[in-house]
Amino acid sequence: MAAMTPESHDHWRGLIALAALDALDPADRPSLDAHLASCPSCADDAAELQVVGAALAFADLDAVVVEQEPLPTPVPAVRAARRRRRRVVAVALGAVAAVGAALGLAVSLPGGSRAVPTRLLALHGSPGVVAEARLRGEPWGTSIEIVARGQTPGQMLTVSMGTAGGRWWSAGSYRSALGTTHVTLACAVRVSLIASVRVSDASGQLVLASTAPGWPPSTDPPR
Amino acid sequence: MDGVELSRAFNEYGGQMIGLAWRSLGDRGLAEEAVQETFLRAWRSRHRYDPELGTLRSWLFAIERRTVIDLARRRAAEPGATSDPEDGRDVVAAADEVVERGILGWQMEEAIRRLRHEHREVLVECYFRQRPGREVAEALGVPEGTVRSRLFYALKSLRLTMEELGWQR
Repeated sequence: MAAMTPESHDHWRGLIALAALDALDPADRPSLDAHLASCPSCADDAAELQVVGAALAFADLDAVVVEQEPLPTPVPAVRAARRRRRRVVAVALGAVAAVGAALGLAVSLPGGSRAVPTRLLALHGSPGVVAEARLRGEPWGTSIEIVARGQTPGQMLTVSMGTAGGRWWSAGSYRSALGTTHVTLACAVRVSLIASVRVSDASGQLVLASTAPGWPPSTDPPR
Repeated sequence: MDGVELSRAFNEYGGQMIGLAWRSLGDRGLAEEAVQETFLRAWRSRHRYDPELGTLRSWLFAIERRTVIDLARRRAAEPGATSDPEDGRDVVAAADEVVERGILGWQMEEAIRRLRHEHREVLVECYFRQRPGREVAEALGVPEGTVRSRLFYALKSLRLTMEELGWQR
């Protein structure tokens, strides 16, 4: 903070982001409020991001966090995070309600149970790229975990899952990282119907593809 | 927009749209019905689609949102519907809430998945794992101001992506 010019835009943007995430140091609140009162541009940002921050409470922690290994930490924070998040949900509901969605207090959505059937597919691409896809049956469809090494970093790639009938279902997209990319995506098709997986770049060019050996499987192997 | 374009959109977005509907309705059959109904509505009102006002994808997700709410209301109003809100609200209003939560949750998770890695990283650490920005900055080897700046742009990106996915504030 000492190296930061207090008047800089970045400084205020940082505080606006923290406020939107309910993580602003109370000591910074008076100066932020004073700035927002005199800066329409930042006030607009604050109002916009407050709504986004509130809506974050509706994302499933596990669905998001499972894709990212925790950074080294001296304190186990997840339990505290969950407790605090319940409070944030209540705050979020108020904020979202204020913009038109009158919502209740608790988020109790289907899902969360882990899969039973699992299949592992090798993905083939250009030389030097090694990748595999783990398909997991879920109550709502199929999650797909992709681990790829050697891809050109920074590419926006789209993952699709295909049925034996030739129909393709988009599972989502990801950006390739330097070294190993590890992502988890999903689609609503049952795992037993998935025959193959493909990954395409932004121009639609196929960069990784697989076919499931032994298709159709007699039974899905237990996990 | 013609049938070919809509058919291509079905192939491209159909899986995600079923995911959204399933998450919101909790019933796979109903979710498939929602997506079919969405494309039917889209076809009937195709003359109203204006690419200058938004992408085909955001238009379709906006239609799906409305369709999912309609289906949930219809289901809630059926005789024998099991919904029984404890706070005295009517079952249709309660169904709306559940659907809105499901849609919002799905949109947000999808938007988070699409964030750039460095943006998602700080968001997960600072918000979901509740770690102080200073600690995250140390772990990443960047100034604390950079973490805060990434958080700001992460939230900006989330808003844009969620609007693409039909988010209506």
